[in-house]
Amino acid sequence: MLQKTFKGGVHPRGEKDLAINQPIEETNLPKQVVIPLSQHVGAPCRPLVQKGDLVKVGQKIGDSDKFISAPVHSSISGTVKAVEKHLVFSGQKTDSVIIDSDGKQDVFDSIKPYPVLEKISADEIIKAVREAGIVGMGGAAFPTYVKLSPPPGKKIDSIIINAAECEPYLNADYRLMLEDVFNIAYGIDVIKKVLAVTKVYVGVEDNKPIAIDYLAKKLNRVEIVKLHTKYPQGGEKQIIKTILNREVPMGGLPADVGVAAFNVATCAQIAKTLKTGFPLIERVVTVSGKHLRKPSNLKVRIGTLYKEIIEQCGGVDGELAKVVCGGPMMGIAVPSLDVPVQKGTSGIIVFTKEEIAEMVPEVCIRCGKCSQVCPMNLNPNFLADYAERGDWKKCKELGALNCIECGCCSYICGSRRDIVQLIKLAKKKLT
Amino acid sequence: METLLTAVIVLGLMGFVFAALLALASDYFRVEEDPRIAEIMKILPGANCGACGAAGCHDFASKLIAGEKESTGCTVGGQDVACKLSVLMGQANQTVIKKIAAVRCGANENRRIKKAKYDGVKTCAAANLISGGGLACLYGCLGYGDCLCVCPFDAIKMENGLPVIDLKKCTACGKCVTACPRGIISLRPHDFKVVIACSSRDTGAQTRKNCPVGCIACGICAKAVPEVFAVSDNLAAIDYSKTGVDCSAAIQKCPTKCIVEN
Repeated sequence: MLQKTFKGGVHPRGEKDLAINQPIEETNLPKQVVIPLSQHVGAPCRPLVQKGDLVKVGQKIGDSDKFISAPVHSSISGTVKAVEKHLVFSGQKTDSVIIDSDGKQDVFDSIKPYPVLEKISADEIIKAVREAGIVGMGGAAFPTYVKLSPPPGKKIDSIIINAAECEPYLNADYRLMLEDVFNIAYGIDVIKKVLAVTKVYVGVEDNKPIAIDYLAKKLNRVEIVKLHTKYPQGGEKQIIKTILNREVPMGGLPADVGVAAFNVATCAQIAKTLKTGFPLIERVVTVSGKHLRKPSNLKVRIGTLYKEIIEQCGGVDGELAKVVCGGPMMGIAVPSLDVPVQKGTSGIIVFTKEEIAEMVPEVCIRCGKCSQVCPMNLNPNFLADYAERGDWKKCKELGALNCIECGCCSYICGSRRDIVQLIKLAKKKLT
Repeated sequence: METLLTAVIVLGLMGFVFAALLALASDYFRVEEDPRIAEIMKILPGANCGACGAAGCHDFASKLIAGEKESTGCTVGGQDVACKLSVLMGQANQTVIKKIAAVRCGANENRRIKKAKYDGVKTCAAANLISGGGLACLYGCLGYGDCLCVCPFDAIKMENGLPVIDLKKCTACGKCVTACPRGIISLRPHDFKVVIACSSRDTGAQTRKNCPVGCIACGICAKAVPEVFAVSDNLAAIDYSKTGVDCSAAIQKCPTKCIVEN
């Protein structure tokens, strides 16, 4: 049978074996957490606490009145040391709440489980999801409650649970599928109820046969779709195209084609929030790398600094040269290990000096490979050329804003051109 | 000989016919334009830099006539052009404060502290998007010369990784001000030669870690020359309206030597 897939894409080495059999582990309680007030797509939060305030686990410390936003919560109990600008993974400084732990982990008083699914209305669920600050945990960090409340006139007929995890190295979603399947099942039921949809697809890449079999056994009334292992299979638009053969229009949202897509970790978090009342304060992060002494899948409190996590994984053999936040294809190299884990951090990949090659970009030889692999049907070579010349108007005409920054073009480029970076620059100039 | 003659006559006739057509067309499709525009264009420097906010010199001229621009609007032309324009427009003569670009960062290649190696597109705008180009200071000059590329007057050159403004050539058109992704370059009055060569809004302790020549917001300059200097938001600032004040005390006392005179 022909495997389901989409046009374009690349086949980077998986490197998933490093941490694939590591069960999800708890992390040590950090002495200090740095919780950025803007960890999501949309308006940043304003702080609700001041220096010196006592906070408890799960207490809301930042919120915003804007529609597209998500509140942030304290992941530990302790004292607010400062509310100031702190470095985050992107290299910019954003307003953050810095909390010193008191080691007690007292739970905030108002945290209690929500009623069972039969006794809670769709509106109440949406409100609960918003209050819990749940965002897309695949990496994009788009507020989930916005996805759960589609604009009037847009009818959602299918739900896609995205469990493709196409990025090399990452195993966080895979481990979650094996270890937390009941929460995933509950989360699917919740989403089905809120959107009043019965058709649910769970897309898993065929390099995870154990997970596919296991999900097929444990999940009822959903269709498990085996996807061809190809990057970026887990891209929202790619997975919709693959499973339903529907194309999200330029500049549109999945809701425009009647689909709502959720990451499998988001799904489990929704269930966890309703069952326990806890907001999104911890997430599973794959910490991996060939020279990392102990590649692991860790349950990390939001705001834990990278250096503590890498320390817990035993450090590296050799000279640490590059640490990437997220997967190696889309991830960003962090400027310092003093940056916190955020809601969208799915992986921390560590590279040593031997693994890093310095690329000297050459001129484009017009081989056209980037156009072949572009999953969005763009012409990355032209986009990069125009961006290099600063012709932003032309970039817009060629659809730079539709680029999903998957990195296939830079990966395949024989001239080692920094294509994605140039397109990112164009996107930045155009918005 | 006859062939030659025929060709000359035919081509000559054709030339006359087309010339006549063109003459008719130019009369028929004539666009009425205010004659003052041509005169203003003669006065304007003609650099088409866009510093005035108009699309070019011609656009500025038509906007000046429409009353949307002041006669002092051309920063490149300065006082001289402003005088001529005000005479032409029948307006009162206004004084123009000649401005000049100033680089508010003093960390050159040797002084810059790097915390990461940047391997990517070699422009400031691109480097700034990725982890701040590996620089420890998130406010300092990246040194890839985006300002130099946009300068229409060739007034910027890079010396040791830091842009240096040619005071004679700079016309304060402001292109570099908008091109710098970190907003390091600003305009200062030409005759007020003192500049704070730092843009860091980090706290003093943080700035000291990041840069040997950064402003640590100690406030000594504000104590030495309180009329001109003030510290706000972790950075010293100069009140450029206070001309004629001697700032040498502040320049000498600055512990990191980030107040410079040029």
